[in-house]
Amino acid sequence: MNDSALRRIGEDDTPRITIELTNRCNLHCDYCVRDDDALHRSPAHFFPLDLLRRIVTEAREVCGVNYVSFTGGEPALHPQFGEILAMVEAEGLQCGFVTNGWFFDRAQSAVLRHRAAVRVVAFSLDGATAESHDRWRGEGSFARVMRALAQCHFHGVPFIVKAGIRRDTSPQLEQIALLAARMGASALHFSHLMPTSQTVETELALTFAERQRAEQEIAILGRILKMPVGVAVGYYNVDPAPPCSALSGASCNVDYRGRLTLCCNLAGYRGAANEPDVIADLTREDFASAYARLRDLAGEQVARRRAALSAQTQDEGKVDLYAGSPCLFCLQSFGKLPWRAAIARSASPAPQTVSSATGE
Amino acid sequence: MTNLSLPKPHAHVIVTDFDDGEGVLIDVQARRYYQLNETALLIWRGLEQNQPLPQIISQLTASYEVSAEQAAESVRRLLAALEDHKLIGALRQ
Ligand SMILES: C[S@@+](CC[C@H](N)C(=O)[O-])C[C@H]1O[C@@H](n2cnc3c(N)ncnc32)[C@H](O)[C@@H]1O
Ligand code: SF4
Ligand code: SF4
Repeated sequence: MNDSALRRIGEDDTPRITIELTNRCNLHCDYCVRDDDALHRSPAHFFPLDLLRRIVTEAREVCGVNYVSFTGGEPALHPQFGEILAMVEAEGLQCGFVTNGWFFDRAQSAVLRHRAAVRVVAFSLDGATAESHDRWRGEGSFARVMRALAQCHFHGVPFIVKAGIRRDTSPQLEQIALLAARMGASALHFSHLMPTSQTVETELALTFAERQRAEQEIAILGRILKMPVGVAVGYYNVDPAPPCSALSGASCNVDYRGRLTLCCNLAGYRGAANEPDVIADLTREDFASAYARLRDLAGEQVARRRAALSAQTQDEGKVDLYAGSPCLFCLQSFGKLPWRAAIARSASPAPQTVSSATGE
Repeated sequence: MTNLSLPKPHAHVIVTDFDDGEGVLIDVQARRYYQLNETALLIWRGLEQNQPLPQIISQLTASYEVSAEQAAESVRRLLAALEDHKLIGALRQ
């Protein structure tokens, strides 16, 4: 599948930084990439406003970052959410955030007060009906997120919908797209499931052929709807060029502990054996020196994938899913899928150790 | 329409209200929005709470300068529109 058929989304070259505002979440989506202890049992970390200001201003100086994307955990749980948006606006930056929508009524007044700074709100949707969405996100979640979409729509706040491609959602792609379009979303971003255990992979992930059919369906939806529809970078793509903003040098992530990491997809990964994607503790180190090491890591990862693609093409003539999907390749080569360790061994970078100011 | 048998909102219809007292119905099955003005929202809330017609009418007459007849007519018109759009159960004649 090439880019002309399938719209690649969320990957423009605007320099951006993703920041996890908190580790905690009010919902319990079983498939979630984030470590379950961090989400629900560890002490709550709420990203300190001063550190946030320091990091975004340094990131702007070092690599021209002018867009901040907030995630979590659930970012709307941050008790200073309004002050964070105010800071973004005062710094002349723009931001967006991805949310489960449960607490949107709390976040909404801040969004409306600082709407000049909020480029987009992304709402996660796990199906086109209450039954399918609430299966993962708990009773009442669908109604809450639909209310949040309506509030954005009628207040003129641009919003997009993010939906996972899994065994349960793949029969609903069109319904999800129609729902998002009718509710006024400015785009729909699908993403393939990132597997967090063998059980999740077996029960929820699509086979190679099913993924391709889902990607074709999404490409069709993208052609027939006015609303842009696309798939995030995890789709099958054997081009050896950097597949995403993190690997091309246009983005990076800061986790809820203030550590600079390669990408929000890999951060705090549930069940991970390793964290070679964690570069530095920004509570102790300035952004510039840490960012230089991050670029090295990204360069090494691009080279590693290029080598894997070339080896598989030569040996077998066909690239398997775990090399063809850039995100699966990262997960495997960064030790996030320990149950696949035997297959991954040949692709692993040396682990790095980073100490954290919180001593965790 | 008898006092005791006002239809119930359908489960696939979600309501949200705005600070100005107005609201929106989201029909997630038909994937459509419907805007409600203040009185329509008040009537909808009454239907949600299974209030009898006289209670809804007295709320309308207490909140707005309308007679009981005008309020009853507003309710009747709104119910017909809601039924028409399949947002509530069928009206009993
Ligand atoms: C980690 S959540 C954080 C923000 C917020 N709590 C939410 O759910 O929108 C960010 C996004 O990652 C998605 N996500 C979580 N686990 C995933 C997985 N295993 N594979 C693909 N996407 C996943 C969520 O659906 C959500 O859109
Ligand atoms: S996907 Fe979002 S809402 Fe669901 S558990 Fe993970 S962080 Fe929470
Ligand atoms: S997991 Fe890897 S390929 Fe996927 S977005 Fe992150 S850095 Fe890019």
